[in-house]
Amino acid sequence: MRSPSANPHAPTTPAVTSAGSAPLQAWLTLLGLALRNLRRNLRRTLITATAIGGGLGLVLVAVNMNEGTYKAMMDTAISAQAGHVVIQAAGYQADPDPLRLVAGARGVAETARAVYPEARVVQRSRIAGLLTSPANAVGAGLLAIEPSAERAVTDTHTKLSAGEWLADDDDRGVVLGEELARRLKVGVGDKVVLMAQGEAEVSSRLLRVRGLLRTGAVEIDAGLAVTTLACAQAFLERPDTANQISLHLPSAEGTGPMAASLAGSLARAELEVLDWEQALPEVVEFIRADRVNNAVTMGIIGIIVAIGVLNTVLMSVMERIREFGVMLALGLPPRQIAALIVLEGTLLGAGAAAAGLLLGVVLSWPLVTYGLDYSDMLGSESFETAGVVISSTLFATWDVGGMAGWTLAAWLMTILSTLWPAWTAARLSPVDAMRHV
Amino acid sequence: MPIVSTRQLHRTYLQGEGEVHALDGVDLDIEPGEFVALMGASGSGKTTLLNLIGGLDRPTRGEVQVDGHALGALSSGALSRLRLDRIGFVFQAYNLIPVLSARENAEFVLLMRGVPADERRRRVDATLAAVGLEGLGDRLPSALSGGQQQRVAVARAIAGAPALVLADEPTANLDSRTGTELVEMMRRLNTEQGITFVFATHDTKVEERARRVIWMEDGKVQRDERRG
Ligand SMILES: Nc1ncnc2c1ncn2[C@@H]1O[C@H](COP(=O)(O)OP(=O)(O)OP(=O)(O)O)[C@@H](O)[C@H]1O
Ligand SMILES: [Mg+2]
Repeated sequence: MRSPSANPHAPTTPAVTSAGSAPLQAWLTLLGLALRNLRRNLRRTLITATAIGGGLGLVLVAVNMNEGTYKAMMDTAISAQAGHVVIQAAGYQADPDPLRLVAGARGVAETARAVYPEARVVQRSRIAGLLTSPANAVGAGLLAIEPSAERAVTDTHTKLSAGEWLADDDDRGVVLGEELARRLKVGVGDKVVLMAQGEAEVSSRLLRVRGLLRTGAVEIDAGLAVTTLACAQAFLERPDTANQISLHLPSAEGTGPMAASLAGSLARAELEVLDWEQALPEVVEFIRADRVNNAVTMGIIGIIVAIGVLNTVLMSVMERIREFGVMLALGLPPRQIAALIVLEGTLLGAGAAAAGLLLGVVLSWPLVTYGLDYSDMLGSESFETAGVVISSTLFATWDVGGMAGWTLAAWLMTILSTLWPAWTAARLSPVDAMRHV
Repeated sequence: MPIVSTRQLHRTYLQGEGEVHALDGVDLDIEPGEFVALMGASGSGKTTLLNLIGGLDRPTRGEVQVDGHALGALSSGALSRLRLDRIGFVFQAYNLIPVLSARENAEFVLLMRGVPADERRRRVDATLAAVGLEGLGDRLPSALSGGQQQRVAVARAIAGAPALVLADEPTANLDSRTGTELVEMMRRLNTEQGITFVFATHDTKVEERARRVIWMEDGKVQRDERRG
């Protein structure tokens, strides 16, 4: 609609009553204005971006480092304590009685190998008992393994500090943690007696110390004794049995459905087949809780940074009240004033988040590649956490999802902290705003 | 049909216990192409009247029509749109966007309207020439004198070919020669381009160049004088 009173010299201008949405060009103009406004107070922009980006960078390093530690814990727990999939006698998970044995263990292992040829399959038994020497008697957890098959799965044999590793058919050999041997006052070649609950009564067996182990984790070195599966079978007088047949795969990814499918192939009701998450509930729960804990801490840091950002944005709005008054008077709708401020936050947040991501990657890279050696601080090559022994050299891992999530969160947080200042500016009356000094 | 028309316009402010009648029944018609000066003592209501005509403020009572629109009937969005499309503003001072160059300031209203680039360039070139700022288009406001800044403000006000330009004491911060030059320039734009100007001023040199002078007193029109 053209006004009849428009002066004849003036070019046609858009109809006044078309309250349609603003043209793209208007938004591009606001975008350009937002960029320049950020440049106008460059020092403040840089300080704010540094706070956001620096905070994000450190959060990303912490996330990668934590995930790396979780991965080490999980990998170790899976290889040493369970397997990606474990087959055991029904009820063993709830009550790990050494006498809950899988009968025909060799056959079960063969079936598992046939179903999953890429898996390394080992049989294990555990006996809790008393080791006695002429000098002392110490409670110990005896792990019974197939020494040659086990080599492909765990690195316990590399921790040997004296003597020799076990042979598969050595049904009287034992390898002791150094600290345990010290307490028993025995060395390589000495005899110890194992006493534990047998089928009917407490039975005993004479063992000979073949070697000593040093893992570096004191708790483990003081309690671990490794023997052969043959020895455990002989002790319990149960040939071809094991507590656990465990499958080890190249990666933990996608092993969940394998347990159910293997249970189907075995079709033996007296067995339970678990995936690693079911087999290691304490470790899984520990990691989950730790992850939540860390996320909450980082979230709180994020909120504190956001309050700082909010304060800065509010300050920058207060300084420009006259300017916004002029824009309103010229005919910018309040929502475009608000949009300008939110755009400034969006650009600032994007820049800061990108810088933070870069910082996080640059700082994480050496931690992923070379790891962080805590051994001097801890005084040992490995340490125990949540029942899992891991190396004192911790490696970060690239947690792509976590990094993306936190980067996005930092960006969103910056945008969110402009909403209130933007709303404040949008509610200005042009008259009051222009009166403002 | 007048471009501006007010009927029984009242604007009352609450001030402490009492009320201030900033405008107290103003009836006014301004025709297209007029060049009007609002004169009057400080506090007589000039700024209040300009704000109501420009739709920056709403009257306590009475009605304003601009360019055929009864402002009271418009939503705030439509009012913004009316200002963007049909009204130019020049304020006393400090009213340029500091991060935009002179040229970009003059272009601002056109950009926000979505005027195509080539038409925009043509209009801004012509406008900068008309206000005598050729060659200064790339400077930021901070690198311009007060008089030059106010020329940019006038350029911004007229670049969009508005039906009406409202100016509240546009020369108050300028020395008298620069102020006179600015008014002469506005007067030229008025005769050459037919743009209607309404401006509040205390400056008698400015008043002398007006074709119509409206004297305000205590929120009322005291005298309305047309000159040849
Ligand atoms: N926001 C406000 N709150 C209270 N009173 C106001 C407000 N704005 C204006 N007034 C009063 O309204 C009256 C008219 O003010 P206005 O600003 O319109 O005068 P003016 O003619 O523009 O004066 P000047 O020449 O000093 O600019 C004055 O008495 C002023 O104190
Ligand atoms: Mg005034």
